[in-house]
Amino acid sequence: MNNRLIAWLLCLVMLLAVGAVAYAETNPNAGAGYYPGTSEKGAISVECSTMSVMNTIKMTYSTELSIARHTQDCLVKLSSVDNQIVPAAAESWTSSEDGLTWTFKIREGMKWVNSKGEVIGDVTANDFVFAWRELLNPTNAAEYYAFATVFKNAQAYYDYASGVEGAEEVKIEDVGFRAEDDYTLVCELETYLPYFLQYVKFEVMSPVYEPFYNEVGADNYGTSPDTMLYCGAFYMTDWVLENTITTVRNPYWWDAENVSLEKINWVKYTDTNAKFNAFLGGEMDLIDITGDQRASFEAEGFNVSNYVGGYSFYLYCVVDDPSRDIGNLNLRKAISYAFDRTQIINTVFKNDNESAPSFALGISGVNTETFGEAVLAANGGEPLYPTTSNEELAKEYFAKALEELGKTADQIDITFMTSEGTQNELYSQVMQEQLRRVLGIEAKIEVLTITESRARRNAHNYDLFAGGWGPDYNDPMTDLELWTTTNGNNHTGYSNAAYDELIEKAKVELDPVAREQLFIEAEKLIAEDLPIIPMYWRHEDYVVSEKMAEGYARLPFQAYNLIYTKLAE
Amino acid sequence: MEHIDKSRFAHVGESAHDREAIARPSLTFTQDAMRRLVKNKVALVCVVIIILLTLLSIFAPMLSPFDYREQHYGHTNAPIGTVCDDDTMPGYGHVHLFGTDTLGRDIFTRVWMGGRVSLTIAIVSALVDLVLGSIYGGISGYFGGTLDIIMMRLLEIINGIPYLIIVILLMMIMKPGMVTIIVAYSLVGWIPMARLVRGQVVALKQQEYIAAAEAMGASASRIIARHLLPNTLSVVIVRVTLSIPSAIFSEAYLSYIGLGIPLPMCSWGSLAQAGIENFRIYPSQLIIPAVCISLTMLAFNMFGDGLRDAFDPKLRR
Amino acid sequence: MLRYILKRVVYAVLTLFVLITLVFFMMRMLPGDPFLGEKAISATALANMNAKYGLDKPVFVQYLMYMGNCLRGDLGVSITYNRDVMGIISESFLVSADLGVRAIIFAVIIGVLLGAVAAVKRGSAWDSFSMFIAMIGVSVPSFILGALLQYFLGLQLRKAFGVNIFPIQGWGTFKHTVLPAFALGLSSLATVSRLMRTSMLDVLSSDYIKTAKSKGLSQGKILWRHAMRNAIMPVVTVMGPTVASVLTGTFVIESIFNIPGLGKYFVTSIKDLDYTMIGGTVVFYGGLLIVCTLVVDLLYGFIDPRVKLEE
Repeated sequence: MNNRLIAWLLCLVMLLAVGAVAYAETNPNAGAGYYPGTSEKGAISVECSTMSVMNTIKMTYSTELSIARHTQDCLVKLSSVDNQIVPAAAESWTSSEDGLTWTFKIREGMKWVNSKGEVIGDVTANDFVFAWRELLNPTNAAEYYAFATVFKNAQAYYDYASGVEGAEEVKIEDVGFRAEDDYTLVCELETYLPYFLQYVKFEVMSPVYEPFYNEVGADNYGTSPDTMLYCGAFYMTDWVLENTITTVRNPYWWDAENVSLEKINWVKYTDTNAKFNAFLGGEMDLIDITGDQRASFEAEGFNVSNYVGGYSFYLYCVVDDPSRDIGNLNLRKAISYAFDRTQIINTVFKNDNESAPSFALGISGVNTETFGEAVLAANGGEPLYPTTSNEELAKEYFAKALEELGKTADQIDITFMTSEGTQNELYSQVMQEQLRRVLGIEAKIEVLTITESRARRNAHNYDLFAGGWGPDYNDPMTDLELWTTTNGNNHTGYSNAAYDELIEKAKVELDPVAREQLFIEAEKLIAEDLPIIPMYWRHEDYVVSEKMAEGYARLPFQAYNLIYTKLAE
Repeated sequence: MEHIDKSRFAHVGESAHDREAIARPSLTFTQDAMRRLVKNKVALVCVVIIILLTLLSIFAPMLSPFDYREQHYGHTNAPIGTVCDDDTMPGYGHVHLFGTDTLGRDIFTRVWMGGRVSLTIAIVSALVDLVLGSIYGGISGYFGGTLDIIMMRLLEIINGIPYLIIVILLMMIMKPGMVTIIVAYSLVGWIPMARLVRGQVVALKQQEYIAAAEAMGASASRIIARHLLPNTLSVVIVRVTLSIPSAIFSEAYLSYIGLGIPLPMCSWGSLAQAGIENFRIYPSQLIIPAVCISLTMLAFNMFGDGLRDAFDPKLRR
Repeated sequence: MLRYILKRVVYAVLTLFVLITLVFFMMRMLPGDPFLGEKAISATALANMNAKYGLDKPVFVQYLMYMGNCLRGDLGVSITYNRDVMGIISESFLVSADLGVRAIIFAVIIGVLLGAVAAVKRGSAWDSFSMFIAMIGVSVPSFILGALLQYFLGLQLRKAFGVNIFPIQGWGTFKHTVLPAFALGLSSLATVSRLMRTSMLDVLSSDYIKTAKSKGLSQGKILWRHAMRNAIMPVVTVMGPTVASVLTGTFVIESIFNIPGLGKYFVTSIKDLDYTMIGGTVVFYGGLLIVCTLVVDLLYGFIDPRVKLEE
């Protein structure tokens, strides 16, 4: 009897749970004034993903760079209004006629502040020189040292200092940057770079105060708020590893009078439900959301925002291994035509992601808003890759592929390799099902840890691998350079002399229109050879509480810019 | 009181036949246990539930008009009882009894598909636990001394190696699938059982009946198997019933890190995990697999209790 | 007694040594390398990184160096965080242990009581109730339980009454610990109460309890002095390793409630192939595990008069 009682109780609890959830969904307060945000005055709590390293020299993740954007000032930065280059630590700058020498005038009166908000020293041109030298110092093993190799002799110095065999001796003084005086910084470039300022705005190129750095030691610098100095709009007061970073308004910053925000709490989440609940419960002010969460916000009439980071997502294909079926061009074409990209976006992502009409989005075009639009126009308004499934063409190519491979459809052996994660797995399953339905291919899915999947990707040991690329600077070169034969990020084994030549030409072409034309040609070559199968351009959805009224920005190259956020009264 | 004369009684004599007659049929240990098990109605109901779940898992996916991997983009996240209105699908016009998931797959079919995986893993893993754990724990506890110390330190070492490392290494040499999952779980799953059995045996071996068995020259294996292990049964059965859900959840964890059942196959654990992501918006996607897991758990626990009552020599009357 | 403890300590050190050795070579067999990023790194930079963490030397030399450093109490610098591993572990262990101790106290006290009462009043409503709690604890995985607690007691309670009774996430005050400690402790509570109930039933039917009863001892005295002590044995056995794992935190509970504990490093260090961090967590957890089992074995001798420690 008791046992039966338990069974009934269990059922009752289940029913109650359903009822409670159902009740909770009928929200009478939906609409305006529903998510007032956190209660701490003058402060906001913002979601931020990776924040493992805060030493600007050793940073790699875009979210780490985002926090550095708030605590450090580079020579220039991107405006939170229109994403254009604006002065930061440098008040003004000039460049020589050939574009190889740049002179920056450093703003006077900028201060170094510690984690208690005390002034430690002045920011001078020497701090930039010191920081960049440390960036090129092999004992620091900075992953992003390559950003400093735009300067004259920098790569040669790095190779020499790293003890590369046959490297000629280069002194650090011969590397192309020096402080003329305390407030004048002169830079010499290795080659002409149309987007040089895009390099110096990169947070890895932030200044570092030498006396303090030497005092705490290179290995300890930036491992806690106390072992670092700040010259940006905020300074860091607290850091709980893998959990939260607290930054507080820096009253000594040069533009502090325009900053009204007192404090930003950067919170890291690993659970999407947790941050969603935290936002709903008024414990967060800004979070990224999933497609299903977006749908529920929209159902309540709450505004969802999104931004484009310039990321393009595609499938890597191993093309240089004839033992793999995927090495067959017609099979790749068949697969590309079989995908219904719109359907994938609607089922898996449920957001504004665009079906990729070409590979690179390209944040800015020459005459068009984006480079992608220029490619579309050049192709007569037709996307290079279909937005919905083109079954006829897919089957046609598939028949050709089968003939070339001498196989039947069920003998085709294809595996989607993917790294773990709910969305990755859903994404692979939809692609798998579409191939099964349109072409009758029984593709497999292999889910791996991210490290293992990268190892396999770099070793060309996969058939199809879902990956993506975000631009490092605002020029299509950052994307299209990938598929040249010698590029370290070309994990497909694709090698086409014509393609390499196009990219080489683009590197020296000074006329922007002719240069863009070369890039368009490159895009068409990719579409013909399909070393990758472009899938979609990402839009990232997020919500902000009503506490954050205006002034914040989430734009390409600045995932977060909250410096000038104005809070609601 | 009436006087009864002695002569009215007669001595009938002793009959060897009657004296040796067996009043009740003699029962072996197993027969006795089975008899008591059958008497226990709750345990029987639980067996019926387990059989029902098993049958559904075997036959429901075969009979369903929908395929477990077929994606209906027209009605994703459909509520319970939605009619399939996509005429390109073989299941056109049929009802999605439990609705569809985020990719528009029929949850009813998937739940029973998942049941195949989860029930197999749970039962096989629990058996492996039981066998490995009681043998290891029994030997270690009975012999004691240096052997015991070494065997227990070995457990600590295995327990100390991060599970994830074992799993990833295993993944490199074995193909993802049910066997791999069972191996991965079994590699560490039997350890708590071994410790428990050892603990019980250490306490039990001081008792008189063991000394008696030893004095009568019983071999060590006989003492462990016939005298010690049956007396640890009550605790062991509880542990086995507890290890069934832990096997189901460990499978869910494994599928999360990639050693799970190959996609688009599913298990109750992975369905529950998928359901939790959106349970606020689509509660039924969590509740259905969760109820399946709970029901299985409940049935196995009650059944375990019944088994314990039936088999435990201490409760035998 | 002292000799026994000394012997066990020697064994413990040996065990730890074997464990570290095993893990050291196992983790080197894991696919990939720690510097694999999304974007490619030049060969020179990669060589510099390997040199910085001593990964350019032969594996066996690395092993000897690591062992030497371990003996000196230096667990190295984390590759992912560029920080001292010892520092990361001690900082986050304080958080995990704080939560873990609460969870264990909750699980043991309530679990033992529920189980004991259920056994004594077998077949009563108490019995059903404790079985029900045990069933919930066992059949609801922590990732579901945590999420449900957070949603209903964290979010919905606040929406319904407008007061912040249980914070949804985070760490810092007593309020923050209630839901995660409950979620963390419930499955242990279930195990404890189930085991306690069965072993209590065993004990209650044994002869010495009957003897005690027939000698006219009071019910309470029988239970506390005679039954409990023996019935608690299986619970103690199971609690040893459980304490070690609960104290070091769990990935799931920490990520649901966003707690800066140690648990996540057991998972992330392996995924990121942060060798020094893997080594650090293994040394720490292994050490704790060994200490816990030692304590359990010693407790055996104290609690159960039937058990004699091997001299």
